Amino acid sequence: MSESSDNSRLATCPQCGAPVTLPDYADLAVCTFCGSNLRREQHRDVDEWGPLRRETEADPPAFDSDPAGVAGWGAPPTPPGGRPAPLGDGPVPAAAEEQVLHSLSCPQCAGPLSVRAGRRILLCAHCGVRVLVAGGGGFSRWLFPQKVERIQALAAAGTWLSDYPGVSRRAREVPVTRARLVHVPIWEHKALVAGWEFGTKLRTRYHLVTEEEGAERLDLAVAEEPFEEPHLQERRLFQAACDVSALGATRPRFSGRELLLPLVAGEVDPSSTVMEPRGTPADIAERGRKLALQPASGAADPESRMLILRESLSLLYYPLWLVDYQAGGRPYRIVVDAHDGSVNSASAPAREGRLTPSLGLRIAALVAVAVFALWLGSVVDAVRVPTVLVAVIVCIVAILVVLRSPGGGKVEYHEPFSS
Amino acid sequence: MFVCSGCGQVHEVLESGLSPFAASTAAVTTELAVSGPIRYLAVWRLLPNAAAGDDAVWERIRRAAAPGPAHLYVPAFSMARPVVQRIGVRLTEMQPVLQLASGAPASPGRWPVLAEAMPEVSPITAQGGSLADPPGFEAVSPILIGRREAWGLAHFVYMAIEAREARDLHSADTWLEPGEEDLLFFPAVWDPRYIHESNWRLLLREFDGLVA
Repeated sequence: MSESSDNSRLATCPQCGAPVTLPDYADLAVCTFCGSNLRREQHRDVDEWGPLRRETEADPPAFDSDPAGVAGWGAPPTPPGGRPAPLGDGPVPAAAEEQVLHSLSCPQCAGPLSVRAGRRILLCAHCGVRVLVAGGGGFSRWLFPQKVERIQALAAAGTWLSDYPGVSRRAREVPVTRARLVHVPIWEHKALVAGWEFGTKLRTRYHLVTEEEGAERLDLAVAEEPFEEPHLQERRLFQAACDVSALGATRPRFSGRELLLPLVAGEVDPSSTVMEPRGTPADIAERGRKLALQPASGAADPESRMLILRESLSLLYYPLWLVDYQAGGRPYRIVVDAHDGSVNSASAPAREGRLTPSLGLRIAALVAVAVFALWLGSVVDAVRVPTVLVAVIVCIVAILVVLRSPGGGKVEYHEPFSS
Repeated sequence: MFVCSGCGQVHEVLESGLSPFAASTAAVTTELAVSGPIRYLAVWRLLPNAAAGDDAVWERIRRAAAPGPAHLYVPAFSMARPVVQRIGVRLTEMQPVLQLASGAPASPGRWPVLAEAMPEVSPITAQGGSLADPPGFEAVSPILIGRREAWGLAHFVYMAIEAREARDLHSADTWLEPGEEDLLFFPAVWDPRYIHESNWRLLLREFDGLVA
């Protein structure tokens, strides 16, 4: 494999020998010459990224069917057969290692195989044979499909500018024409946990109270009661793998049940920017495990006996449109969700005359100076004229500050319930 | 775990590839009439090497199993918490006497493929959207839980039994040392009247008369 100028690598299609460009962010590619689906394989000391195999020669999956027995309460699962930690210890891109492309086609008939999120068994659309995908190097990469085009993103930004309250009138009329697409990486750690949580909870209870006259009434009282709660559920951790606030955005909001596509080289708009993921899979997995095992019942003094049965790690790439514009000589940005078309985050100059806290403080200080000067002039006759003059000058300055600071304020919007 | 769609042989994924895994099928032992088509549910039967925990609980399980060894049962056909808990607890407490035949049950129709081959079915339950829905498989259930996961869920089931007896689980310090495990297929009928068994009527004599 050779390296090209734009963080892409040139590899050779094992089916037809044609050159295939494989960006660093993608593990899958489609040969433009013969149409073969190709998958990056890295050669390390241990072959972590196995090629496609027939079911009869399959490798064990990362976390399933470990014959070694249970790892114990709260302990992470042990990879089968003493293989290295399945979620990897190294940084995300392993570009320095030898990389080979393998055909992602049916080993029986060479037909194309469809890949979908969560599947390790692929069905050949041509001959119907089922193929098991060997372990995927610890994590897989998926893409939220881009459903919003540039023109729609610009329209959404324009609508936000015209509709959002408090935005400067001049900003509402600014033409918004520049937009660029970025793909933001987000870690997703999924853990299937089973076990029990217990502790105490405060509950309201009714008590029947008999009064002296024989009448009865119900009294409401708060009682601390023990509780036990069984759990067998999937817990997920989503963590931005880059500094989204540096883009002026927040982590996009999604449920985790959206349809995702495998990140294939060439599927992503070549003019878009795919951001480099931060953090190592091992660190993310460790944090995901820790959070998955935490009691979630909201009890006082919670304790838990939880066990992670299986886990997986993915890197999800989320598309965002960054719409940049200028108003009053200052740059502003509106971030439009390229998956659902909503405005993720936005900033704009505040409406003229809108009193911001800093501007209010400055005006209050000037008014105080003017009032003091007038008071001094009324008390001391000798300095009456100069103090009145000072008061007039200060008032003029205050008026100028108000008039010259319409762009000082800024309206910001961030999508709720995102982080 | 895989079930061959041609012959019904159960396979386990090992480092070297797929390895045949012995499975057994329990015979119908109920003395009552059976209504509806019989389905076979995959269940792990676990024999721990050692168990440390609430002695009273383990002693009761051992008494129920006497003179045979005491087993823990973990349903492998569903990952819905109520199903695993209810059927796992019932089977473990009952310690049914089984008449086992070697091999997976003979299936007149298609065999189920590995659960992950149909991810559109929720991984939590193979019974559709809710527990009240009929099962999403035909004669033989898929196997959703591997051996290692079965031992993890055995702790869960054991604690569920403890929770029924002990007022406070804080003191529970259960530890099961993994030993032998068998994959069994239990005959059952889908019957919503059996709410305590998550709508499954297990066709074993120990479960006769348990209708809600």
